[in-house]
Amino acid sequence: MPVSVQFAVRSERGFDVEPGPEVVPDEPFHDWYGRLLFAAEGREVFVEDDLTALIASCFEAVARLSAGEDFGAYVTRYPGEYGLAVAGEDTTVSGPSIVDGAGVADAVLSAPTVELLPALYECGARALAYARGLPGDEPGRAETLDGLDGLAAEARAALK
Amino acid sequence: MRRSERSGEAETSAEAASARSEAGRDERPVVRTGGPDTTRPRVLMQPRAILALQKAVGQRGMATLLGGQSAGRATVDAEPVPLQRQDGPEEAAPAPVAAPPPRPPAGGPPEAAPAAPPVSATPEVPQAPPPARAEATPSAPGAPTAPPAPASPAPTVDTAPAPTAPTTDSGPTPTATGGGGPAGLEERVTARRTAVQAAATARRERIRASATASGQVVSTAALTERQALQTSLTQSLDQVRTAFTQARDGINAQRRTKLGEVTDTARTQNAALDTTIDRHKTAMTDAAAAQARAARTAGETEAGRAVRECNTRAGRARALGEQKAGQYREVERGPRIGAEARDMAAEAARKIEDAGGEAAKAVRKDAAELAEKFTGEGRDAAARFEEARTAGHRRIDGERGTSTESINRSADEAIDGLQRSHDRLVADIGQQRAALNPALAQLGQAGADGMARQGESAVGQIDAQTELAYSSLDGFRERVASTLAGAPPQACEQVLEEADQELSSSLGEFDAAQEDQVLQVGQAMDAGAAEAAGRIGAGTAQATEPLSRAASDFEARCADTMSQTNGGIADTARDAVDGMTGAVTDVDRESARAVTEADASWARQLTEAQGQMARKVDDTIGAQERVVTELGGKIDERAREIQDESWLSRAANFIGGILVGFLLELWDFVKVLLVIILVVLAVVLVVALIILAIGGIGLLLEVIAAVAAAIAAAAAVIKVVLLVLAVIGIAVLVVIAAWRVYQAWIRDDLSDYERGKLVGRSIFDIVSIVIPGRVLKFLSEAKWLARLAESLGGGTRFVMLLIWARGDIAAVRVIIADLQTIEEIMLAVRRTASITEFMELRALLGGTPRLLRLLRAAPSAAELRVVVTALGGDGALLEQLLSGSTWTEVAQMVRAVTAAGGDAALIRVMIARAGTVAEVNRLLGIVTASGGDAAMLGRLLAGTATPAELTGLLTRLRNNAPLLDELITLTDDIPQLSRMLTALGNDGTRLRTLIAGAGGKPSSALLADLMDIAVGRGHAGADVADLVTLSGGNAAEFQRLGAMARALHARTLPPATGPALGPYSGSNLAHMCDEHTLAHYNFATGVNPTGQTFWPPHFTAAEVQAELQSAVTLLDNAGAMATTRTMGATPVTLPTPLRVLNGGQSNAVVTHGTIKGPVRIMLPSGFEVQFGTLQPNASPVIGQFFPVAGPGVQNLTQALIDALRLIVG
Repeated sequence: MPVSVQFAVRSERGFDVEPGPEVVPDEPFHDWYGRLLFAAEGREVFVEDDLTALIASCFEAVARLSAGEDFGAYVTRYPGEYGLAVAGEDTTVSGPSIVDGAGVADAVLSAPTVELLPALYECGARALAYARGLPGDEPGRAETLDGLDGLAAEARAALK
Repeated sequence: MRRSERSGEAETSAEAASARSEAGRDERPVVRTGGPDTTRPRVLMQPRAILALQKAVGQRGMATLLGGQSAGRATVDAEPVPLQRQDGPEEAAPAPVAAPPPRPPAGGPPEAAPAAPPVSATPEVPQAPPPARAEATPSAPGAPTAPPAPASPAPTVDTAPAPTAPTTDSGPTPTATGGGGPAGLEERVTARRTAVQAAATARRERIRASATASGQVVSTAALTERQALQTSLTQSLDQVRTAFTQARDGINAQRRTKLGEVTDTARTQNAALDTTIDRHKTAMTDAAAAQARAARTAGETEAGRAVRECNTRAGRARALGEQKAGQYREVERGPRIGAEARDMAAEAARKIEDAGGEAAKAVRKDAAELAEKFTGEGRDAAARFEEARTAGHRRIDGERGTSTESINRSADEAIDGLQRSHDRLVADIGQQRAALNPALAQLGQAGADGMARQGESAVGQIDAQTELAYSSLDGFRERVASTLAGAPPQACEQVLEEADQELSSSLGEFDAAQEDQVLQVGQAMDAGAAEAAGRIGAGTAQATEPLSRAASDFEARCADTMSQTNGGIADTARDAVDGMTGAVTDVDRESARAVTEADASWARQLTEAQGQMARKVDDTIGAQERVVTELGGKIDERAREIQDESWLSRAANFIGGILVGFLLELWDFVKVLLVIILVVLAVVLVVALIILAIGGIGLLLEVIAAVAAAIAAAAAVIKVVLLVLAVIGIAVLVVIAAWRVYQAWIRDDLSDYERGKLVGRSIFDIVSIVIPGRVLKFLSEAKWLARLAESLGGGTRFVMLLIWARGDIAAVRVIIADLQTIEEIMLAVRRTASITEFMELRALLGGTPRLLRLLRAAPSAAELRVVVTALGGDGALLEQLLSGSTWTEVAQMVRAVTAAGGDAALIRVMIARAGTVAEVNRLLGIVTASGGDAAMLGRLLAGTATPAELTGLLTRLRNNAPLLDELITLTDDIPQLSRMLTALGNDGTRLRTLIAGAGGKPSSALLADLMDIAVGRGHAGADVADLVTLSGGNAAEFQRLGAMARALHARTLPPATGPALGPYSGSNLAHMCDEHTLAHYNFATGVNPTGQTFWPPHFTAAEVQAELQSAVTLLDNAGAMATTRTMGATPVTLPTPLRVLNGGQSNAVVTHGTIKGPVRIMLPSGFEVQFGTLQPNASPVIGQFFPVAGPGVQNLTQALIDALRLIVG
């Protein structure tokens, strides 16, 4: 099974994976809530947080891991943290907030770094495009998306 | 001459050096001028010598030397100079900063900031005058003595000599025109002064730069250590919290798992026990029924055999009679013998048939009794299985309860112990953090300040040296000008040139010495800063190492405690499971053995009984066989008797027959008479009733009157009719009597006795015609008999009385004296079997009146005795019961209560609560039908207010009385029970399970409240089940979880936004409250997969706002640390003041004084919180603020929140 990273957004119907613009979260922009779903070797784990924080993690993780550093982040919505660390040819996704398919926390998933990083970047880019595509003009929205654009540029440069 | 003067100056310089070495001895140095011309200007002394002399004798002495003042004026103490020396005895000691600081207390912060830079280590400035005192050591009051410890090397300050203005030859050499006289002198001096000033200015800047750099080194070291300290303490804190959380969660998970196993096993084993008991009960009753059928079959077989064999023998007897009749037909009195033979054979045959019938009846009875015995024993044995069922359930429940308590206790004790250690360690770490942070901040600032002061001190020394050089130049200028006054220009020019050259040389040496001094100052500052940084690092390590070790120890202890506790819990659960399984196995084995043994016993009894029945039938058949066998002989013997009978005997038989016949006829007469009377009475009565029905009493009276009138009117006719009838009757009687006499006379087959009976009957017939009934009247006139009969209202009663008294007339007299009316006498006679029974009952009930009252109510004395005995002889209670109920009802109740284990006391209680016997019977029927007993009904009546309430509850529980009994025990009162049943749709079994799962009766009130809350919010009462399950049977845990539910039930909407705080334009206060407080929680926000932290339960938006204000204040002021994960590969901790930026942007936006969020900080209140902001950076809004840990902070799992949602969502 190829490595994949997908994002999901919570709406009144639950979590929509890779939603289109017709899926509009019920909450204000800053409270959009979602998941990052990592899949590799037949296993799937995920982490939940504010959608913008997850997008930022996609890009920052790519930048740090490309530079040979580990990546870690606090979950912004609740007490928790997770991280990505390079171990040989693979990158390990782990942390107290990483949950497996059975709902068990502190899960671990490893995937080849060369596959994971592009997938992670692409996921962040898709999620960012989704966020930009939704209507709204809440205060700080434009600045937030611009900030994420900056992180995306850094990640893109690091991948090259 | 200049050589000589230089030599003299050299000597003077040497002496000055000598004097410098003896500076402490207050001796005046010897100065030689080197020539007889004492008028030569002393300006020829080299500047270096001047400076050396200044050091040795001071400014005033030097002026004296150069100006020719009196030696007495020159003998002064050395003036204090700014620069210090290290070679003096008082300066030898290093500055305090270099001294090793005292070891900080364990776990405590450094007590003071590092010492100032090593000003005392300022390199000796050569040529400088000796210092008066080393007072310039910049040791600040209260200067820190604790060890600072920067690990990084101190940056090297560039102390290389900067280009400076030359002090020796930069100025233009004065020309003869302008320099040979005072004007030339002024130019030269001014040039030298300018050069000295420029060099001093440059060196001051270098010293200040060096001091600033060294201070920065110390500050940076302190800051680095603060970050390292923060990281170390945070890691220790995380280590402690993670270890505790893992241990607690692990223990609780093991607790839930094992309690679940125990509960499941208890449920399955209880069910298995019921199945086992039911199966063995069925087996027992089936075995008893089979044996009973076998017994009855055996009885029928033997009975049939007895009847069949006896009938066969009866037939043989009859045949034998016929045979004998034929045999004796022709002999004397042959017909009579033949008749006798037939009679004897018929009698024998009848007896044989009767014997067969009796034997059959007997064996049937034996078989029926045996079958009944088997059935009864089977029923009793099956009933005894209920005891095994109860004991088994008790054992299983006991195992479950004991193990549950043990598991909860083990888990609670382990968690409590770890919780205490965790709290203590967290508090220690927090205290260490609170103490070390400001100490390190103060330490860094103090180090920087000390370096700055030391630099200023060194600058002051440079200034003092420069001023001294100026002063020397001024003195040089004045004295040269004075000396050259009036000298020829050529001489002046030469002297001036030589003096300037010497001055240039001296100033060059001065410049080099000062430059060297500046270099040494810089190096000393670098070394001091490095040493201070090293000591700061060492001190911090000493402070944090014990806490790190304690955290590691605690982590190991948590793991060990969890392992041991989980092992103990597993052992306890396993033992409980084994015990519960063993309970069922034991019951199964014992019950099976009981069935087997009972069946075998019954089989043995049946075999034995079959033998007994067979023997009984055999005996009967044998006896009848003998009767048949002996019958022929007996007939023959009887034939001989008849043939040989004497006349006397025959006459006696005849007479006896007459008497018997007379009496028999008399009896027949009486019977006929009675029949006639009864028929007449019946006819009259029927007619009367018909008339009464048709016309009422009036018509009846009219008919009676009419009949009476008719009789009166037809009296004569009636008399004639009666007379005719009498005549006819007499004629008939005469004919009959004659016929009987004729038969007696002619029939040969009659015995003499039979002939006498025919004659006796005929005699009575004649007598009944002749003798009126006066004879009976005469007999009844006997005085005593008449009175007694009169008192009883008739002879029949009297006869009955005599029979009842078994002829005991004396006893009869006593009883009659005690009884008031005939009705009472006849009551006693009819309702009791004998006077003996009457007397026994009277003694049992305490008197005749009560006995009579009860006899009227009871159907029989036997039943009265049974009921009274069951009531413990309490006749009063029986009368009380009968006051409002029928005998049947009372007897039914008494039998049911006593059969169900009750007694008179319990009956009183039941009557008091239920009101009537009928109600007790009804309720007892319900209770016993569901497996309960009388005691249970007593409890149920005592536990409810009215029978109606009890009936209602039983109806709701489908008459499951044991369940209701248990539920009443498990709840506080009936209204509470009723509420919960209503909430659960009257599912009592579910309610029992829920209460047990919540920890038993102590939890019932809370459970009822939660059901009410759930129902009130549109949920089902059973929706509390998940919360009950999460409590794991622990009442304390259920109280804790229930308190959360109550708090959530009372939740309100939070304020939408918070006010501006510090640099933040506002806060998303609603979000902070509706996800992290019970008071404002919003289930619609969703549950995170790893749970959610909540502020302490009492927190409302106001408390959250206060903590948020505290956090902002903390972030806006120095002295705290904030940690982020979004700025590097590892957590980055920075000192405040900091403004938190939104984390979703590049690190490039981070400037000094800002940090990317979210950050975690420790608030003064002890809460570790996470703080995050939203864009835009220009006016950020606080978007996230929630507790990570702290006093009262709780992490609610997803399962718990879901369970709470079911109740209050």
